[in-house]
Amino acid sequence: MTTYIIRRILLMIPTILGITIMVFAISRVAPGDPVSLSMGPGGQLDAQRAADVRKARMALYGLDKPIHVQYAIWLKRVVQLDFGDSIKHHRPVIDLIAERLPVTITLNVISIIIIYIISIPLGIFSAVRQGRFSDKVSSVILFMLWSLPSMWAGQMLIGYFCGPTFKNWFPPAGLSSNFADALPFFPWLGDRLWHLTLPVICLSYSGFAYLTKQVRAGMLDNLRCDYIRTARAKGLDNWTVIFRHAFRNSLLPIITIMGTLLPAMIGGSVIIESIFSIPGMGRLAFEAITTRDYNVVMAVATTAGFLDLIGLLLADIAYAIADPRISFERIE
Amino acid sequence: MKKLELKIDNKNWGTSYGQLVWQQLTKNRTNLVCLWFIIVLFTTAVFAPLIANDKPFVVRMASTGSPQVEGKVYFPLFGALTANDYSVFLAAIVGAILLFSLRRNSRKVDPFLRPAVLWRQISICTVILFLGIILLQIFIPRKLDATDYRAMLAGGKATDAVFPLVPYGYGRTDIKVCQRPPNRNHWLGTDDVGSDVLCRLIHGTRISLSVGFVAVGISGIVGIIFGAIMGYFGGKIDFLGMRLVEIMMSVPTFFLIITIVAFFPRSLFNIMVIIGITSWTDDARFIRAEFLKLRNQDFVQAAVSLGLPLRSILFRHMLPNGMAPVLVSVTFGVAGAIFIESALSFLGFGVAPPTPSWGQMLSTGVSTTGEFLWWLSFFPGLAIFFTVTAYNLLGEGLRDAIDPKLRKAV
Repeated sequence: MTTYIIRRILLMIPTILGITIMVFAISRVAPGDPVSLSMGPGGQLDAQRAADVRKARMALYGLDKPIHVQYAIWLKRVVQLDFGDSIKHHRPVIDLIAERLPVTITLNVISIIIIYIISIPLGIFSAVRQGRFSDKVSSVILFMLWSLPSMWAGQMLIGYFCGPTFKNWFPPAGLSSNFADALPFFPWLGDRLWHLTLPVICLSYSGFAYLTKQVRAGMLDNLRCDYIRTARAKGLDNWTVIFRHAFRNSLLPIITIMGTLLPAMIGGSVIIESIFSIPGMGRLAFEAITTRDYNVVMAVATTAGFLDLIGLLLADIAYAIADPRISFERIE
Repeated sequence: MKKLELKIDNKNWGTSYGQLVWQQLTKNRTNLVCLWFIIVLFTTAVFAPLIANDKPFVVRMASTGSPQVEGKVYFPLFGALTANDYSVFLAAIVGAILLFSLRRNSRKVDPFLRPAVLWRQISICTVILFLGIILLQIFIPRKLDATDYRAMLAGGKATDAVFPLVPYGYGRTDIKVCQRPPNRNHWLGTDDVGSDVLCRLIHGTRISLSVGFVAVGISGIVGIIFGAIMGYFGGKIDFLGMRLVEIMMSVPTFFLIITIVAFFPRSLFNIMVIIGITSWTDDARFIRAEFLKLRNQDFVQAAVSLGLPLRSILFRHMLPNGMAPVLVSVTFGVAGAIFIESALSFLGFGVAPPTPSWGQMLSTGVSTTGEFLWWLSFFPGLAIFFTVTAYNLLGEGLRDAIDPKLRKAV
């Protein structure tokens, strides 16, 4: 098991390098260079002077070096977790990310837990009652939820439940009320949950619709198998057949789905955090792009890639735990 | 010389794979509804300026006006359309003709001749299209018609006018009627500068559908080329290619897209390209899997041993046999691209405001004072939702039609 995990982590290194190359390449392929931006229209300088200043600036930013050297320098700083300073906040980017990352992780972890808690029983339920009315209704509703654009859902929820126009039930923005830090633990938690309800709903409904469909499909495949018939013929009761035999075997694809669910959710948190003004990484990315804060943009993209890889790693470890064959195969 | 007579005997032509898939697809009523919805959407997008426009089709001047225009009949709408609008009409007509000839081919043309005939039809249509667009761009003058025909009608300068269904322009601002809920004049209400929501919705169809199609076209072409090369050669090329795909897939797509959007100037074309080059990985994976299977089949070996060029082996012999899963992923891809475009416009990274886009309209629903102008969010969102759902349903239908076993793989 340990060997498997170590091997898996080592395999991540080329991918991480690839992500950094890609982010770096995007920033360098883009039209317009920082030197001309910082120099402005040039003013009264004559051509010779302007060229000198330009050269000096290029050397200052390290842009006079060949591209791979520039990448190496950037990578060296990234490895030391130094993404430079934010232009807007005048603070090291890494501090900003350290502040915002926990918020996004909390939001996504809560959503993923909710997704799994709801969709596994629902998927099993609709697979067992395949073809009946309740299964058909739930399939249609799930399909609609899956295609429902999250910004629409978010906008409608915030408009309906958080404003003076209709119901004023939930707070429209932020993670906690003013002075929430002064509250004792449980009221503080309540306040936090009250703020998180709508964002979590928006972030999780699409994933839960998708996962339920997959659970249902996996269960149906297994319920058709011969060993289920054998188990029933043996005289096992219905619940044992469903949970101990069919469900256990359809567990693996459910774990693998983390791989498709996670990038979509991290990407989706940009939209959700922007709608609900939650100070997370997505909101940071949104602000950085509107203010053209390039250091932050690059840092956030790299971090999002890391986050995703870590999620995939956890999913793979869970997979190896759920299916002992995998780790054994890899060791040999 | 006696004229050569070709007798059409289509009794024992059998059914082609494409026809089988089509039959299977159209058997299901949901798929039919989705297909019709998409056709209606396309028609709306193509003819948007004829459906929603503040210029009348026909206007007759009053006899009390100046002597030059007295009693004359004008066609302001057709004069106000730009060369681009006419090019879009032409492209739609040529596309429709091509679709009909495809249908005709399956009944009237011998299966062995079909690829050649189709190829000829496509080339003729492309030539017509390009010539037509060039001619239109040369001969249609650029002009700005700022006349307010409704005011003319009200002021008695014109006697009769026939307006389109939605008689408002999408860039029209009218501060007197801003932020009105749906009413008799404005069926879906007006936004914060007094533009008609229905009109902007109709014109927004153009942006959404064109982004969906161009982006998916780009991602499809890139994905097919990458996937075909990876699957055909295997080995090191395959390994390197798959690592690239893995890297692309490990950055959350939306983050990747907004990162690129941050660095590049914002235009419709850039957005199409950005969505296209970030979403080819699925197509490449499916094509690769198909090509890995096909590579060892006899007809591919035969093509190789005949010494055909690589291009011919990959795209004329292998691709038609491995196209099916990509068709499915392309259909889902259109839904995805439309969604991403509206998300980008929603965040303000899309096309600039006077051009209507569903996502950008959706974002105006909650005003800065926290007031909820529900019609501004509800209708554009509904449009996005229906479009995305139609493509997703069609994708599922296509998947089932192509191969019921694919249900698990894709």
